[in-house]
Amino acid sequence: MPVDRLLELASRHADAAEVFFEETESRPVQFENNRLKYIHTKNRRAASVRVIANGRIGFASTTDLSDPARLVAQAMESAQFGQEAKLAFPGPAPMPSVAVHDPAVVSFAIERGVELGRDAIATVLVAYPDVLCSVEISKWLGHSRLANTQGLDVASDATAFECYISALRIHDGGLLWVGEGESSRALVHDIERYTAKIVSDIRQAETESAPPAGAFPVLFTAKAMGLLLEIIQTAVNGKLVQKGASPLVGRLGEQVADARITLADDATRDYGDGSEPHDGEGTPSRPTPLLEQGVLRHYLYDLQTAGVMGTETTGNAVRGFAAPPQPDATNLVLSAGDDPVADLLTGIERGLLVDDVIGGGQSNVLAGEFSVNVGLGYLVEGGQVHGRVKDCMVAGNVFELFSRIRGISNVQETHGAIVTPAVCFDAVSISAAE
Amino acid sequence: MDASLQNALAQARADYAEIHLERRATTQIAYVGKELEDISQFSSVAGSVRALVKGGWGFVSFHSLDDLPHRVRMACEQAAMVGQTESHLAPVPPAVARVVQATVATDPRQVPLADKEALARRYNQRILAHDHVQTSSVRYRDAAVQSTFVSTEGAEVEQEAVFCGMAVAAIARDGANVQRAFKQVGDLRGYPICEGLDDECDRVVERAVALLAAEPVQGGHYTVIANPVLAGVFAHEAFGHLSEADFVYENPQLAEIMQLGKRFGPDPLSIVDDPTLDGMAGSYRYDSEGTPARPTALIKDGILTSRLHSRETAARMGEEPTGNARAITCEYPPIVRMSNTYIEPRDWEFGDLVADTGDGLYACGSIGGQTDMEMFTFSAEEAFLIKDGRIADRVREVVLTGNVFETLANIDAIGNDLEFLGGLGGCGKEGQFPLRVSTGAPHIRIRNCLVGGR
Repeated sequence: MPVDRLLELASRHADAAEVFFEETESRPVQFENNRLKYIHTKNRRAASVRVIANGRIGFASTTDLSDPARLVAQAMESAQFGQEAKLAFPGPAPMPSVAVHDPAVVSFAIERGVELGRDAIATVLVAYPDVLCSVEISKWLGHSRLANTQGLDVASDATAFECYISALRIHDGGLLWVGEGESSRALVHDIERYTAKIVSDIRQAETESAPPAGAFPVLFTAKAMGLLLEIIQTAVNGKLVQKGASPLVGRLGEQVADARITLADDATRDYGDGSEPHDGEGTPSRPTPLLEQGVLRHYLYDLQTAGVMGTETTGNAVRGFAAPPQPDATNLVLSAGDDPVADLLTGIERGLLVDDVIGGGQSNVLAGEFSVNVGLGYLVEGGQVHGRVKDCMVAGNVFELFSRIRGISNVQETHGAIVTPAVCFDAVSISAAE
Repeated sequence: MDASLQNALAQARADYAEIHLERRATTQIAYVGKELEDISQFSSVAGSVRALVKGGWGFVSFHSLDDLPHRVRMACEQAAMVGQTESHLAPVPPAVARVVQATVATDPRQVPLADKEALARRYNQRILAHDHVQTSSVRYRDAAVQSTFVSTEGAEVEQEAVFCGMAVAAIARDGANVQRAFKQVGDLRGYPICEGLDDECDRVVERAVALLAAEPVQGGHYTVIANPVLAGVFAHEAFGHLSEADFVYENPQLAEIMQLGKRFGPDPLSIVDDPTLDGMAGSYRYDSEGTPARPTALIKDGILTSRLHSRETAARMGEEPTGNARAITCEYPPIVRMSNTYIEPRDWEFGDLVADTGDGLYACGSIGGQTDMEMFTFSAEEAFLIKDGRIADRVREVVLTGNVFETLANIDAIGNDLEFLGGLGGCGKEGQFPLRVSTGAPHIRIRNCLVGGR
């Protein structure tokens, strides 16, 4: 194993060191335009070294395991310039039990993926023969090991499974894309659910309605809520808070949203897309309340950012492939409300139901702004869902919207690392073509 | 060329197979606010095998280069599980080439890490020195890539590309009002493009601070003058992706919409994709399938003239391969991508264009863009109202959206000031991000463009 050798080498030169090794295999089965197109096998592995030398942090990473001395030398070179260390690597600690490994993913046969994809496409084509479907079904296996000079040495085996179906329909000269799917650390057993949603989306979108222009109630489905929650995710990122770039700086303990809003980061959910027993620095995972009844409770930190801010890590050090740890959310969980979705709709005299958007994250996210094209959305009138609206944008400020809530659905849905109910907001700006 | 690659391919039970190997060395530096957040080096070796059997593809990628014959076997087996019809690849004479893509000026690999750090620090301090600046971001990246490609058809291509770039941003804040402005450079011309950006740092600060006082734009329809950066992103997002043949070749309805010879815009509108331009972010000599790069006229004088192809899409559509099959790294299969995509310049002077416009919106820079092939959105970094033929008040939160075809037809004036934009970002498609590309355009005017707002 390269970990022991790297740690031994690094500890000779540095005051403290941390080594991370990761090895993954993913096997996507890919259908395009209704037919099986590609089967992939992707093997990746990388080692990275983070050192503290003369009070400064250095980092280097590689996929080439043949020269550990060079990797350590690069990390040491980086430490000549690196940020002043405000962290100490953690020692061993008891880790919570979090399910991140599903044997059913390991034994899932690629041939089964091919069958599932064919079945999904056949189901859509029975209903709409003029549709072109793409399907990706993928299993992922990962092994990682994290060790440091404080005696921490944790190994982890994890799995992930992803299925995603999209359909393109060109109808009366217009285009319709609909996409549905799920990613989880466990095998997804009910792909049919997503196929059925694709078919019902296409059906619902067959008629078109003129969107209202002005300020109207908008019901964001759980799937569309990702747009808004990701903006809040950015605002509670400890790194942005430390830089003073978050609109939530200095507002801990303040009411920043409607009292019905309770939001947490939680890496300890079994089989959650962002779940881990410990974070990328070996800090044990734990749930962190972000908004409690609308009151801002915490920002998300890793060790270094927390050190700079004179506070404690929340166990949110997230590592990209071969990248240094950075604070980020794991799974974001918005608590369910009291309202059945049907009641939320019934309450809308005139407004929109938004299920998918184009252009998320491209506005001034730092200020909480969004301005997106409604990719898939419907006119709601007299409490009834009417036809699809096109050529229409919704815009606003997330922090203002979260103080103008009409109602919150009583059912949570999981969309990747976001768990949320549908939420209906008041007076959302809608711009539309004439 | 290493004979073991051809030997491994000799065992391939496939209609076609290829091996890619890649060595990559990257240096990254990132200042955010006062702190140096990242100064790191990443090196990698990676390889992949792609095999085609009866029209089906198998793809295997790896970081351990041991046992290539086993990887070739796996790729062929996977392809055999997929393939059920016939393989189609447009013929390309097998290239045998060793191309060293020399940077025209200083090679960033020859610049000491200390110098790169000092340069980034200088820009960062310059930005932070201004009042009203809450925080900053200064990012530097260079990446040297040596790639080797061999195929069962006998192609052998070795290429090298050395990318280098810098992005500087200022974030100004007044209470909950947070505004950001940025500038980036990045291409294959070498380290000097990152030097001497001090004035750009000042301009970025001025823009961010000025945005604090700007009012959000009122939503509605505007006559929009897009500056070269934004117009280039528009050409890439709104039109360029539609010209990628993999969206069209198995989709008869889209193929009908994208029929060559159809009018797509006014007479003065010509859009070109050209990977052969010297030292640009999207430049290369051979694509990831070993097809020689060449310029492709996508729209000529308003008429759809050709589209971008891989060997497979060209064969399936009975058109010429254009050398646009690209992968972000050899760990991904090549797919149809743009390179340097630009709107050709025409006659309008910028000043005349503004004066001629009466009332409208002058939209500059781009935070990003997205398209679903019919509707597009893109966000301007800064914008001004145009009143009575003059540039007037600054506005913010300008996101343009529209129907691609209608908007192309609504372009009614094209400037004489073509500019290209590279940078640290790049294009994303099917999970492959960022691919180095550049976009280019002069100022253009679009009538009746929908702008989101409150």
